[in-house]
Amino acid sequence: MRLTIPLTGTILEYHPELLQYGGSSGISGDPNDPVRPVTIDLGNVSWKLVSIDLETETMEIEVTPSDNVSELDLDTEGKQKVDTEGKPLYKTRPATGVEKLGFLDNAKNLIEGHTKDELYQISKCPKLKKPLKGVQ
Amino acid sequence: MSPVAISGVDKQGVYVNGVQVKQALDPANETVNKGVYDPTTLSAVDGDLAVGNIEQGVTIFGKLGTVVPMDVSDANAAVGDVKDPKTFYSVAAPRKTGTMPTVAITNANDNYPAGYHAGNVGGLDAIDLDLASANIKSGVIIFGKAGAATVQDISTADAAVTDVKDPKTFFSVTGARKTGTMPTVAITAANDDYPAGYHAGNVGGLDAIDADLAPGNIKDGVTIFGKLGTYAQTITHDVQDSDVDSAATTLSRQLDYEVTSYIAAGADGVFLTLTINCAQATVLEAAYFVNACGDGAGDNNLKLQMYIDGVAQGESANLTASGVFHLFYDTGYGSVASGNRIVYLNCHSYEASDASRAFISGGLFAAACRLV
Repeated sequence: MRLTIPLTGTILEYHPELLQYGGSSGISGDPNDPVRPVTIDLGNVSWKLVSIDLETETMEIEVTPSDNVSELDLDTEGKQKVDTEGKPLYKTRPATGVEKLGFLDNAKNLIEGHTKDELYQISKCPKLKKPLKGVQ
Repeated sequence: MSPVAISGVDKQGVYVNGVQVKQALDPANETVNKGVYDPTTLSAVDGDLAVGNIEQGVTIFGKLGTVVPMDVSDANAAVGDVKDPKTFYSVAAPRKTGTMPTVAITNANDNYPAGYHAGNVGGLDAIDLDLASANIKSGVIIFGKAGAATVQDISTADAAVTDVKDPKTFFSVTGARKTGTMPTVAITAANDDYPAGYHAGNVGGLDAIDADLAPGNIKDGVTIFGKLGTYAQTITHDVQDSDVDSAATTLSRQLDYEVTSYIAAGADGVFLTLTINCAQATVLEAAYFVNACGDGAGDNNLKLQMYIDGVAQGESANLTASGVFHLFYDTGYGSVASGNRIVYLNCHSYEASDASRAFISGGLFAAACRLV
C-alpha cells in the first residue's frame, strides 16, 4: 500500500541532475533536521521511501504491515502481568492476516483521512524548508 | 623682820644675806620646799591638773575627774600587726611600736611578700606592663586580663609550607611566620590531568568545566563521574578517494552485542553513523539487518529509521515490546554529490510521556558507494 505524506525538515542541497537515479537522489537534508515525513505514528507498519516530490513537498512511501504483534501478557486467570515496577508485561506473537489488514487500514486512515494542512497541524511539524544551494 | 642670820633657812623661809627669798612651786615635780610662797592655785602651777585629765570619780586637789577610762581588754594587736614605726597601746603594755615591714610587689619576680603594701591604683598591670591581653594565651585570664584571640598555642600545629596556599602566610609550630607554597591549579577541559594543589573548584561540577561531560556524549550504560551515558554506539569511517575510484566501495559495521539506548518520549536515539567521503557524485546505498526489541515492560512505541544524507529512507514496524528480539531490516539509496555524506540508523520514540529503552543485539549496518 502506498501513501503520500507531507514532508518536513530542511533541504541543504538539491542536485536535479541526480534525480534520474530515484529514491532520495539529488536531495541532501540537514542531519539535524532531516527531510522526512511529518511525524505521525502510523501504527504497527513499516514503510520505505518510494519517491520525493519537491513541488508538492510530499513523500510517497510503501507501507507494509508488521509480521508480529505485541500484546499484554495475561496470566491463566486473565489478569495482566506486571514487572517489579508495576509496568505491564507484553508478549509477542505472529500477526494474523486480519490483523495485518487492520494495521494497513489504520495507517491509511491516519493519512488519507486528513488534508495536508491537517497533517502538519496534527504532527506539529513545520513545513519543508528549502534554503537551497548547489547546482540547479 | 626675822632675826635670822645672814643667810639660811628658818621657819620663816629662805634668807640670803639677811633678806628673805620667796619660793615657787615647780610643775615638774611634787616637791614643796620650806619657805615663803606667794598665794596661787595648784592648777595654775600645773595646767594638767584639770578635771579632763582625771579619771571619772577621782578628786585631786579638789578637782573631780571626768575622764571615762577606755576598756582595752579586747585589743589583740601585736607589734607585728602594726606598721613599723607606728605606735599603739595594747592590753599588755601602755604603748608599743609596730614591727610590720612595708613591702611591695615588683615586676622582677612573682613574689608576694608579707607586710604592708601601699598598693597601686593603676593595678598590677601598672607595675608590670607585660600584664596585657596581647601577652596572654587565648582563652586564659590572668588577674582579670583575658588573652587575645591572636595569642594561640601553636604547639600542635603541623602545617608545612606545602600545605598552605601560596602566597598566604601562617605561623608554624616553631612560631616562625611562613608563606605557603601550595600552587593554585585547576582541572581544565584540555586534558584529564588532575594536578596537586589548591583547586578553587566549580559549583557547576566537572561538566561546567568540560561541557562535553554529558550523558549524550557518553556511551550508553557507562557512567563517567556520575553521568549515565545515553549515547548509542557510533562508528564513523571515511572512504578514501582511491576507494571510491573502484566500481563499488562498501562500508559495513558489525553492531556490538548488545547496544542499548535510552530514548526520551518523542525523541530520537542514533545507534550508528557511517560517514562517507565521496570524491564525486555517487549512488549511496545503505542497509541494516539487526535484532532489536524494546524494553520488556510497557508499550514502548519504538521504531527504527534509516537516513541517507539527511533524507529518511524508511521506518520499521514497532519494536516488539516483550523484550524478545526480532529481526528488522531495511534498505535505501540515493544519489549524492561529492563531499562527506552521512548515513545513520536511528530509533524514534513515539511515546507521549515515558522514556523507553531500545536494544540491538547484533546485526549489520552497511553503506555502499557506486559511481554514477
